[in-house]
Amino acid sequence: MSIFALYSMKGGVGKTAAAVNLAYEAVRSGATALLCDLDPQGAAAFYFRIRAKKKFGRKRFLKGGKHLENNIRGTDFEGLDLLPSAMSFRNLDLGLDDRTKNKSYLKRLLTPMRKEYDYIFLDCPPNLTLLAEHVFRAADYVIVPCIPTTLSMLTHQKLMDFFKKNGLKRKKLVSFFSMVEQRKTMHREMIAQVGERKGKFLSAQIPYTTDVERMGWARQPVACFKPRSKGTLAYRELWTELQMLG
Amino acid sequence: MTVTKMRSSHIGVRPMITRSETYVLSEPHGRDVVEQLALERLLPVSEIVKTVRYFDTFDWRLYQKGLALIQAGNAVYLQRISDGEYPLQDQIEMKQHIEGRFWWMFPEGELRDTLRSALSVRALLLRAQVRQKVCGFGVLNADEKTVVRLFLTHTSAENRHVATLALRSVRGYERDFENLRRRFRKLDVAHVAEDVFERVMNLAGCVPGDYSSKLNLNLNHEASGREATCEILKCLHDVMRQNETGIRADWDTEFLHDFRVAIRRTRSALTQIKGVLSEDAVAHFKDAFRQLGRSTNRLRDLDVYLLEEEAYRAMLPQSLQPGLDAVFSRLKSERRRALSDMVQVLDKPEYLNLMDSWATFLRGEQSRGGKDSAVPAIALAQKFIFKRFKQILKKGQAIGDHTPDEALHDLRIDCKKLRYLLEFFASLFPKDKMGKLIGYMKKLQDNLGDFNDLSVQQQELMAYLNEVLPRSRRADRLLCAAAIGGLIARLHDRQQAVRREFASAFATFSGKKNVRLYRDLFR
Repeated sequence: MSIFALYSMKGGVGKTAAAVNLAYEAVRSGATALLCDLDPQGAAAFYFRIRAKKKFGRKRFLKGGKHLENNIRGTDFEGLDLLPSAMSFRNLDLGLDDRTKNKSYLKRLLTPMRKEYDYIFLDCPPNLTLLAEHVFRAADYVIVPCIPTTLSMLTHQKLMDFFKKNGLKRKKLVSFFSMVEQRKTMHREMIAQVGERKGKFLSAQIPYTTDVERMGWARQPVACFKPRSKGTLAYRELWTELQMLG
Repeated sequence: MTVTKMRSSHIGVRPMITRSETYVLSEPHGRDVVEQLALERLLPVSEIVKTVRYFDTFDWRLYQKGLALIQAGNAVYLQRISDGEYPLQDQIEMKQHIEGRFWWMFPEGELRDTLRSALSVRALLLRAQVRQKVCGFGVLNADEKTVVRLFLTHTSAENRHVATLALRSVRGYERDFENLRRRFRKLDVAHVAEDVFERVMNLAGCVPGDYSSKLNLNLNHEASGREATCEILKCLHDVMRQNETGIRADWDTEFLHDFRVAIRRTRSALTQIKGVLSEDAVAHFKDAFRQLGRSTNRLRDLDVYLLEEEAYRAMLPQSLQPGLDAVFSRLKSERRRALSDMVQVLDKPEYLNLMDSWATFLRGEQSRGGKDSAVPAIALAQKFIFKRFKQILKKGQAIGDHTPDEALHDLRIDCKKLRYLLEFFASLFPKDKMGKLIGYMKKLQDNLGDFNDLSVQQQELMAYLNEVLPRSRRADRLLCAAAIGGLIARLHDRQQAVRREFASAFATFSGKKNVRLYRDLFR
């Protein structure tokens, strides 16, 4: 049983796409998975055509137990369930602040689910707030998509520093290159330098393809409507590597 | 409807509340039913055609526990019958046919553990084989999201078909499941079915639970002694005949065991239920069955030793264990001979004549019989049971620490006789009380049984030591002798311990509660 958090300080780097496709790949390989959407945008639920129950929101989520479990909904794929987010999740920080001092409340919320699923994927909102710290403590691995640009690498360095400063295990941090465009010199160079950088980078890369973008239109994981596309194969390769981690 | 905590076929355990309901469709074209419901948003998801093989022991040990072992393609898995199509636990890959396998021939894991406790020493046999076509559909909502899963299954075997339809809920969409269920229940062509498994088995010409080594009689309370006795004996006759094939094929050791128990019960009934059948015939058949029983002894003894092989080895230190190799290889080759002797007995005209004449006798005996044949069975049962009970109490109370072993052997035989009487006539008395009686009895019988087994085993080993080893030219015969000596010492220790426990086992049996039960029921 492992918890993977898809996290990045920057928005638009392919977190949700990765969370959705990796969870799908996990189930495809015979495991069971829960995808928790912590981002108030609710994009993960949108990809699976799931609407949260009307009364579900931040309060029920934070109450945990039955209040949370009753709001988990099955996707079209057996073995893959989703906990949708709600607009009120934008204030998750407030609720978390009241509850614990040691920033492990989210971890406690997820404990009962650990028995039920082989993998839990957390789709996180793009910021470094209190919620993010809870996520870092709850997750066994924090998976960071990185676009191979200077700025992205800089934020990545900052995240590593943050981990060090706050006594978090830097081993948890695992990155991969996302939205890679091989025709761009900068992308190629950034990827070539990966060996010189600190921190673990996976060898699988997710290319920038329209197939992944079209997920919003198909409302399915990319493997379902483009089973042989580059995107599908890239996520599959990425999943194979992640599976080895835990 | 069934609500099941199910486990996935995958890594780890996935308990999840899933609701399901299965319908049997009265016409072969299940698709029409689906169309009749006017489910415009129905998405075909999967279509699988497979050959499904069902395995169980001869006496349906898995079925009795509500389980079915299935092999479909290379996948082997256990299913809880009430759950429909969900595997109980991780499925395993096995290309080879699993017929004739014992639990220890499966790879280590959950499946093997479950089989181990369910099957014990029995082998798996192929009980039914069917072809199945399973079409999976998703029932979609306005967002085109799957809210209920629907499976249409066509099962066929030997030109017979059955079509079933199963609904299964998706987590978080239980209301949609309930709505659809309500609509299905109103249809004329679909009927809720709890016995889909039995129906599928019947297609393949197989009736689950059709054999049990237990006497499942349901005697008429007004039956005369003669009628009841004939019914008991007929049942035992059938058990013998049902086990013949298994003995010949040597699938496992329990065919012979059940066969022997049926013979022993038959002899016991003939001896104990006096004055009901014509005396000449009783004498003749008693003798014939005694001889038949005797011809099975050697093979059964060998079976028992071989089943205990692991336990025997475990009793010795590692250094002495190789000394048993010679013993067991000898036993194995002796068993081969004993088996072929046994099969020969079954093939002989004497045996076939005995069975035929016995069956004919039991059919004809309905109208004749001995002096007490018209006495109600219940009165006879009470008389015989209470008499035997008193006898055991008397004999048991006479046993002290220094009583010779023979007295214990003697008591064991009497207990067995009483146990058989109780089983023969159990259906004439209240079930709960009979259950208690058997419970009180079991501890004593186990104690006496263990005592006897341990002494027989020691004798066998002594015989090997005295007769076989001195003539042996094996290089390791010293080691062999040491191992046997060690074993005898261990067995002797255990036997002493068992003997010390006799007093407490007998105390339960001769306790006030038990005596009162016997008085209430049988006097």
